[in-house]
Amino acid sequence: MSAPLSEPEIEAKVIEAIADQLGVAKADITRTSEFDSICDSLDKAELMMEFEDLFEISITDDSATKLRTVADAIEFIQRTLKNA
Amino acid sequence: MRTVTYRRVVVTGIGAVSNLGCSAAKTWEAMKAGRSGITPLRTFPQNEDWTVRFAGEIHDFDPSHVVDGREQKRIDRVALFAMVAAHEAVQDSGLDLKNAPDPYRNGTIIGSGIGGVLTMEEGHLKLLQTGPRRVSPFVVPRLMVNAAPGNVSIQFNLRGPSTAVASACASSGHAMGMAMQTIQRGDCDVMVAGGSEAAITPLTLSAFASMKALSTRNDDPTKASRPFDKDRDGFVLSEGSAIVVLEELEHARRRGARIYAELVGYGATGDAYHIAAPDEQGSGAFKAMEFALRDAQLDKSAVGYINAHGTSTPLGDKAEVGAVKRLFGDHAYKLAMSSTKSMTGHALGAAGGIETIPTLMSIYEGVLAPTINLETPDEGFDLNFVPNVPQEAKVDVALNNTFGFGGHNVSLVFKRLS
Repeated sequence: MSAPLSEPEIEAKVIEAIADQLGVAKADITRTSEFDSICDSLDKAELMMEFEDLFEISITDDSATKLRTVADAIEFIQRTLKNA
Repeated sequence: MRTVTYRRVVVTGIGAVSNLGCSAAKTWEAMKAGRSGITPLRTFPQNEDWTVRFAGEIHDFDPSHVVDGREQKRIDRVALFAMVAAHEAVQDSGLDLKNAPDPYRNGTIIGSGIGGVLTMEEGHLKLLQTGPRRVSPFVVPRLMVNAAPGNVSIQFNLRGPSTAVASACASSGHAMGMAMQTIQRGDCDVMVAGGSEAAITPLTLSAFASMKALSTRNDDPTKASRPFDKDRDGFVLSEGSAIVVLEELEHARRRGARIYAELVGYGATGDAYHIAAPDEQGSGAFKAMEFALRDAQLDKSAVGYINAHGTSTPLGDKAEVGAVKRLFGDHAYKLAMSSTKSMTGHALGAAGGIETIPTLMSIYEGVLAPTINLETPDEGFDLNFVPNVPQEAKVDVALNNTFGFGGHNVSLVFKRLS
């Protein structure tokens, strides 16, 4: 089994996915970026699907609602992968 | 004869995306050159099971000057076509709609026969392959038939009436006719109207082929769309959009706008006959033209040019030619009638919009676009179909016919501004 992803690796993948999805530069997305200010609810729903595919995890609607910032998403993904 | 006096409506802007070129000017220049936009199919792979392997696809479409990359992912090709055509039309009109003092005076009606069917097919495939939790949240806003007017209203801050019309291949005709009436009765001063279609997909192409509605001239695609010719064998599926800016006459005059022509008449009927076959006598088409001329308060003898629906199907062309000959009598032999679908193929709900360009230009420029591939007119087809090369003529009144599956018939009357 391959080594679990480190937090910086997760962060890089998350930011790349967001930038790609929203068609913006990676530099425009930081850990403190709030989903509500960088995208609308449809973008966020599709982003959650992208994270599910990318990290092979499941994000329930309840969990997704609690992810306010990019850091929240990174921490959630890291926690989920550790508990898998 | 109507007794109420309505406000007058003129065309002050045109825009198009077609397989002849991604602007109204390019489309019109290609029509005058008699060029075909039909090619072997490129957008999805086909094997010998496909009885039709060509179409009127648009190969060089790039909406980046109107919609950025992120937004493009959220919008189906059908609405992107409309947004690009609307951008050109509004720019052409010289209006600054985004900063209009009262945006509730501006609206949009855009027709589409099928809407975002490409998104429907891709979304359904995703559902089957990966399950319900992977279906994109953008499927609905992309596929809905009103996505084109919805996006165009946002594009130009149009806060008056905003709606779609779906009447198959008559959609553009209804859209422009209803937009004209919206201005006539005073609800709006400016309407962005027309049609859009992007339905060259595996499902649509195979379904039209199953209906035996399409030409199967695979060995010679540019010769496949041949309205009024005795060897015609069906229509050629194509795509595109055309949008016009309709404006209340005094509103246009006050700002010194360039006016292509006045939109003076709208006639609409239903065949009440068969869901996909035309009434062989063309009685619905006959009445649509008659009602349009009555609405315009014009005599039949005023008509100089008809842009025919003329899809190149054996029955449809026969019904339309018969209707024109019965309605116009001797005058049918004095006017000209061409089908520009001979060049563009049939863009379904966008057809009437695209064909508004040659209809307007017959008046504005005095040139009649030809019916190409007309080598041997069918029996009894003895009108001036402007065969193969354009003709010059002074046209004061021109009709644009569009008829659709479901038995929908629309005729619009354009007139030189007097």
